[in-house]
Amino acid sequence: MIRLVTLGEFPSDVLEHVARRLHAAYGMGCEIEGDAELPDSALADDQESYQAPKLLEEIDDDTQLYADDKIVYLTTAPLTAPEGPMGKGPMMGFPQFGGGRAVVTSHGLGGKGELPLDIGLAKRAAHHVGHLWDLHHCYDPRCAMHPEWSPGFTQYPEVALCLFDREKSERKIKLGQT
Amino acid sequence: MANKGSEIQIGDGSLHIGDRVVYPNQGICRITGVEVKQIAGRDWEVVTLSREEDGATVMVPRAKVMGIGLRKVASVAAIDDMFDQLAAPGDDPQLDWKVRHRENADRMTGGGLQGTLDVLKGLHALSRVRPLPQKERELYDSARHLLVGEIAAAMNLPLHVAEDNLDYALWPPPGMKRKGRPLQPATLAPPGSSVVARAPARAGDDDLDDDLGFEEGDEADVEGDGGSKAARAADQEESEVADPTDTKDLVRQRSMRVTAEEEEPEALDELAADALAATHEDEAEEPGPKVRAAPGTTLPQPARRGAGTTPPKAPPAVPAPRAAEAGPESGTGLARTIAAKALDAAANVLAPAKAASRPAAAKSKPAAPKKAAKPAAKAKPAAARKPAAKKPAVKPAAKKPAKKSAGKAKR
Repeated sequence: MIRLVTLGEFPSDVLEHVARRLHAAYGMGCEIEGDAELPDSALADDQESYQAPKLLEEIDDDTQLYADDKIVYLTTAPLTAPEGPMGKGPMMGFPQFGGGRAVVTSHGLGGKGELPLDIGLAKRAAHHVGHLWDLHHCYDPRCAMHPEWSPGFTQYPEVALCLFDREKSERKIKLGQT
Repeated sequence: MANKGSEIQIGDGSLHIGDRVVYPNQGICRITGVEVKQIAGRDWEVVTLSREEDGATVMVPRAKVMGIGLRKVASVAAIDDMFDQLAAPGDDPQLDWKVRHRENADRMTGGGLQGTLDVLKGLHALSRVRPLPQKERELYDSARHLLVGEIAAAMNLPLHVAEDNLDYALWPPPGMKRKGRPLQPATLAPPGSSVVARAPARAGDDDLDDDLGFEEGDEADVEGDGGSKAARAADQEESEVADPTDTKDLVRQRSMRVTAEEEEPEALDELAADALAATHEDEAEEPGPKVRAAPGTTLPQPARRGAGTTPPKAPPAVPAPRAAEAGPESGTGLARTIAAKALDAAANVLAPAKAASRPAAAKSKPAAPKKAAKPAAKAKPAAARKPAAKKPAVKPAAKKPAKKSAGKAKR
C-alpha cells in the first residue's frame, strides 16, 4: 500500500489526483493518511529548506502498518541533500532507495515552464515511489523514472512507466507481498 | 570453523576481513571471514562475503579471490575521474550488436570500475539513438545499479544522491558545471543532431522491435519532423563508426538498411505490377463472365444451367497448362515464367509414370460435375438431388470388400 502524508497545505483535489495516478501507475492501493509536522531539526542552514535525508529519519510518524508499505510525504517546502561530486543540483524529492519512505516537494510547480501542481506532484511522487522499489532513472522521456530535471519530464505530463520499469516494479511488489 | 581478524590477508594481500569490496556483477559486499568448508569430501578454504544490498552470503574459494575480479571499493579520486569521463562528450555508440555484446559482457565480467563505466556510457549513447533491446536494457540497468552502489560506498553518500549525481553528468540540468566548465544542458534530442528523443526504426537492425510499452501514437509527436533527418544523422554516425577493419555484420547491416530505404519499395512495386499484369492476362484469356463477376453480384449465368450435361472447366486447372504451352517468351509476366518452369520440372519428374497419371486425370474429371451439381441444384432442385443421393451408395460398396478382406485376414 502507498500511503500519502502531507507536511503542509494541499488542496484535496490535488491529493486525490496524486493518489489516483499512483494507483494507476503501480497497480496497488494508495491512501491519503493525513497530516504530519515537519521536524525543525531537519532545517538546513538557510532556515528555509529542509535536509531531506534528515527529514525522513526524524519525522515523527507511525503511518506504516506493514513492512511493504511505502509512505510518501508531500511538502511545499524546498528540500536539500548532501552535495555529490557534481555539486548542487535540482532537488524535487528524496527517497530512501529501496526503503519505505520518500519525501516529495511541490516547490517550483505551477511556475513558468513547469507542470501544474496536481500533474507535477503526481509525476514527482510516482518517480520517487519508483525509487522505493529500486527503480533507477530511465532514458525514456515518457517514463516517470526519467530524470526530473530533464525536459522530457515536463514535456510528457502523463504518469506512466516504460515496460522495463513496469515489469521490474511488479516483480518488486510481488516480492514484497510474499 | 571461522578465522576472524583483520590480520588475515586475502588474495594478493590487499584485502582484509571487514573491508568493503566490489564483487563483479553483484555489487558492494563486506568480507566477513575466512572459513573452511568441507565440500565433496574435500576441505576448501572459502572467503565469506555479505552483500550489503540484501545481506546475502557469498562464498568464494580463497585461491580464486583475485581471479574472479574481487577488488576494493574505488577511491574518491577514482570516482572523481569517473565523473570527468561521464561529463565529457560521449563517443559514438557501437552499432554492431555482436561486437557490442561481446565487449560489454567482457567488461561486466571483469568487474572493473572503468569497464562498468564504459558499458553505461556506451549504452546511454546508444539509447539516445534508439531504444535499447531488452537484454541491453537490463545490462544498462545493472551497470547503473553497480555504479550507483560504488559511488555511494566510496563517497559515503545516500544512494539517491549518487544516482542523481550520475545523471547530472549524463543529463546535465541547466547551469550544471564540472570543474568550472559549463556542461551542455540535456535536451530531448541527442547533442549535435536534430533527432528528437529517438531515431525511427531502421531496417537492418534486427533487434529494433523492442516495445517500450507505449502506444504508437505517442511516438509520432516525439519524432516530429525529424524523421528523415534522424535517419541521415544515424547514417552519418554509422558511417563514422564503420572503418575498413569493421566486421562484415556492420557492412551487411548498412547494405540492408540502404536496400530497405531506397530499393525495396521499387522492387516490390515492380513485382506487384508483374504479378497483377499476369493475373489479368490469364483472366483475359478466360472465356465467360463468371470469373470476373464481383462477389455478391447476381448476374445471370446461363452456362451453369447446363452444368448437368456439360461439366464446366475447373478455373485453377486451365491457366497453368496454357502458360506452359505459351512459354516464357510470349508472356511477359513473372508468374507465367515461374509457372512454366515449375510445370516443366514436374513433367520431367513424372515422365516415366505417364501411365499412372492417366487414371489420376480420369479421376479428376468427375470432380468437376460434383462441383457443378451445387449451382444446378438452385435451378432444378429435384434433378440435382438425385445424383447426390446416388453418390453415398458408392461408398458402402467400396467399404464392403475392405471388410471382407479384413475378415479373410482374421481367418
